[in-house]
Amino acid sequence: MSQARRTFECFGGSVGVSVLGPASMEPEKAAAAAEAKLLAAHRRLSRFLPDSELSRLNRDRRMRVPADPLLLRVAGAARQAGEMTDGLVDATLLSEIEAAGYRESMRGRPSTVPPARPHVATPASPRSTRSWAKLRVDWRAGAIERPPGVEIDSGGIAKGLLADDVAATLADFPAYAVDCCGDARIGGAAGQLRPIEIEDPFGGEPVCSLEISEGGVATSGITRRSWEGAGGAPAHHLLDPATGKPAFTGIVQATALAPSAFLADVHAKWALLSGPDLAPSRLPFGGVLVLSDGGVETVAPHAPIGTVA
Amino acid sequence: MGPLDRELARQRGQRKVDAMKRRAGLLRLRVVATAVIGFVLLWTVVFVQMATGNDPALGSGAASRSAVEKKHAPEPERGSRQVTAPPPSEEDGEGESAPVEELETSEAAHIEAERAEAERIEAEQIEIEQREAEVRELEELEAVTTGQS
Repeated sequence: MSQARRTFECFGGSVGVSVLGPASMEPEKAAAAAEAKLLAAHRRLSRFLPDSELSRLNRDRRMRVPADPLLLRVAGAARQAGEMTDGLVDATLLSEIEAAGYRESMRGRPSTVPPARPHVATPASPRSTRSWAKLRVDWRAGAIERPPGVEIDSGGIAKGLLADDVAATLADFPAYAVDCCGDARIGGAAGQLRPIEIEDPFGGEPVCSLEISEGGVATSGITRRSWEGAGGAPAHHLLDPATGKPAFTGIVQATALAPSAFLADVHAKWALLSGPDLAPSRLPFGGVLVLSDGGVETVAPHAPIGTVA
Repeated sequence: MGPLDRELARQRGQRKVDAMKRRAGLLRLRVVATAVIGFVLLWTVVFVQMATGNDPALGSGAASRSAVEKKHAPEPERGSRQVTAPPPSEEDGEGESAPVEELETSEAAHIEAERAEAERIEAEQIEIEQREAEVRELEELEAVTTGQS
C-alpha cells in the first residue's frame, strides 16, 4: 500500500488530495489526475477570472445561455441550495458580495479575525426577490435560463460539487480524502474511519475531532475571508440575503457532516446563517458550532453519516 | 465514535485476524494428520500382507496362470517323460508386479495432494499477513483538518 498526497493552491485556498492504495492501482497517478481536474475546474468557474465560463455567463445579457455540463451542475446546485434552505443559502448575491468589498481573490492573504464583533446578533433571512428561484437549467438542451443580471457566485457550492466529483473517481481505492478549502469528501472501499479535526476560528488548537468513514464535511465561517468594510466595520463573505450585508448571527463557524461535500457545504452555511437557536436543526447529519463567545457546541447526528467524538 | 468505540472496533478487527490464523493452523494440522495416518495405514496393510505370506506378486495370479498353461499344454505322448513347467519368463514377471505399481501411484498422488494443500495454506498465510499490513496502514489514516471554506 502506498499513499499519494497532493497539496496545491486552488479555489483561492489550499486544496489537499490524499489517496491510499496498492501500487498496482497507481494512487500517485490518480492524485495527479485529481489535481489536474480541480485546477481545470477552477479556471472555468472562478468569478475572479474574467474569461472563465462563469464570468462569461454572468456577463451574458441573453435570457438563455448555452453552457457545458459543469456549469449546468453549478447552476442546478445553486437552485437546489436555495430550495433546500428556502433562500437562506443564496448563490445569487454576487453584486452584494462585491459591494461588501469582496472583489478579488483572497489567495495568499493572511487569515484575519474581525477586529470587532457586533453587539447584536441577528439570524439571517431570505431575500424577498428570490433570485435563485429564477435559475432554470435545461439539461436536455444544455442551457441556463435566468433574467439577465442574476449572477451566480459559485463559492462553496462549486468546491463541494468538485470534491464529490473527484471522490467518485477515487471510489475504488481503499481510502481517500479530497479537501477543497474546507469542503471535504472522505471515503474508500475499506470503509475505514478517518479523523477530522476542526480548526479553531480564533487560531487556537482544533476545537473538536470527528470521525467518518464515508461522506462530506464542510466548514463555513466568518473569520477567514474577512476584512474591514466601510468605516472600519468588520465584514466577511457570508451575507444575510435580506440585507445584502455580512451576517452576524452569533455563530462564527459551523461545521456540517452530510452524505456529500456539496450538501455539507449547504448545511454548514444554513446553520451559520440561522443563528444558534435554529442551527442544530440545520445539521441533520451532525456537526459542530463555534459561537461568538467562543463556546463550542456539538450537534449529534439525527441520521447515520458520522459521529461526533 | 468515541475512543472506547474505536478500541472496540480495533479489538473486533484483531479478533477476526486471530480467528483466520486459528483456522489456517487447524487446516494445516488436519492435513498433516491425515497424511501421516494415511501413510501409516497404507504401509501397515502392506506389512501385514507380506508378513502373512500373501505377497501379491506370488499370489493366486501365478497359480491360475500355470493352471491355464497346463490346460493348454499339448498332451504328452504316452510313454514319454513328463516335462515340468518352465520357470516364469521376465515378461511374466513384469505383468505380475502391477498391484505394487498401483500402490506407488496412489502414494505419489497422495504426496502431490499433500504438497498442493501445503502450498494453499502457505498462500493463505501470506494473504493473512498482507491483510494485517493493510489493516495497520488503514488504522493510521492521517487526519483531515477542516477549516473555513
